[in-house]
Amino acid sequence: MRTLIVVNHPSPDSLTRAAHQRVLDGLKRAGDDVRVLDLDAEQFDPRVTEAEKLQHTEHASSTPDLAHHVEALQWAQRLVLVYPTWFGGFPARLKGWFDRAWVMDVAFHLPEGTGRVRAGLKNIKRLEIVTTHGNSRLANFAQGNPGKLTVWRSLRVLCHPLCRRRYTPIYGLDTAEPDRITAWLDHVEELYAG
Amino acid sequence: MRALVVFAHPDPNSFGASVLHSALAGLKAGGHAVDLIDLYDEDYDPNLSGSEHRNYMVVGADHPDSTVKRHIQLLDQAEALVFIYPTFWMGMPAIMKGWLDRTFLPGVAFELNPSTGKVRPALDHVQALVGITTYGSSRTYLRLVGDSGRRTLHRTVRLICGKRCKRVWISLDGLDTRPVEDREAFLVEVRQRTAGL
Repeated sequence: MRTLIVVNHPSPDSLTRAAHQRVLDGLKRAGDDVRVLDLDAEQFDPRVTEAEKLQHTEHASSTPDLAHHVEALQWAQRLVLVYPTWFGGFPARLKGWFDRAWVMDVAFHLPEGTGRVRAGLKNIKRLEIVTTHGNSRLANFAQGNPGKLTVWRSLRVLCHPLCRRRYTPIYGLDTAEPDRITAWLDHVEELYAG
Repeated sequence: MRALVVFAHPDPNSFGASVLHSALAGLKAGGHAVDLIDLYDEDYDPNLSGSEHRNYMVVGADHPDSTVKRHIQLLDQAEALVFIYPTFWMGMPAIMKGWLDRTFLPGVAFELNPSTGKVRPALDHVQALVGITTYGSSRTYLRLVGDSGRRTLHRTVRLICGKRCKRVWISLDGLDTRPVEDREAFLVEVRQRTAGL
């Protein structure tokens, strides 16, 4: 399966980066065709520019430095997002990747006169998240998990109609025992190898 | 009340800028003192850096970055927090999400007990949490996909504010297809409701 991984964490020694490596290891064992967009390595600027905002509902191509992001999105059959959950959602870099790369005529179409959005990424048949949560599952429930909501609903409707979703979180990282972290990393690799 | 207004819009001539001006006028008419952080105007960098991440638990209010330090000082004085933004992908623009990531630190916005992992609010001084936004999508579409931005402010951030903090949401959906009169009416609503905080 053609798998696109989008990873975002500023620290190379973070658990998110370790999980990213285990996803890669698993996919290698499975023999998947893998591409990676490392938003930190690219120093991706998440700020929508004035020009991009003005073009938002025009049929205009995105900023040239985003061409390879758009190409990768249209190539992928599976999209795996690997990030830490901060304040219930994505770090700014990943949020900005949606804001800037998921543009009109790529992620969605807006046929004139209908005012109705049509899916643009029907090539994506699996949408998956691997994420770390500092606090507990219960606390996340209270917070409403807005990041997951964005991917599961807003972005999901632009993918294939039968697109499947998989959420692979670790909760309570702030107080997690090393054994539990190791077990989770093993679990991540097995999931992607299997 | 002393209100801290945090504003994000990439286009200084947008309808979003008119919304900001209406909110500022409303707050002043209501007798509130106002501090403004205009993120695009400040050319704010929303990315939490590797060193900020390493020092996350210990850095507190004495932040080495002068911009973050100034924002923390404004946050400490705030009795109302007013977020004004256009909704992108059902949430706040990245520049504003990053502002939460970098400014709402342990010891500033919340207290984290390292042994139990429990989070306690530290924004007790915030009595009103206000979101003002515009959506391109229709109300039906919003219901279908859910409003992550509202959840971020009214649930995730609300949990670290004071017990009696009230939540206010002022929004206009279907912006892409609305007639001009609806926009005008919305600006009046923004002005009135911010004055009445």
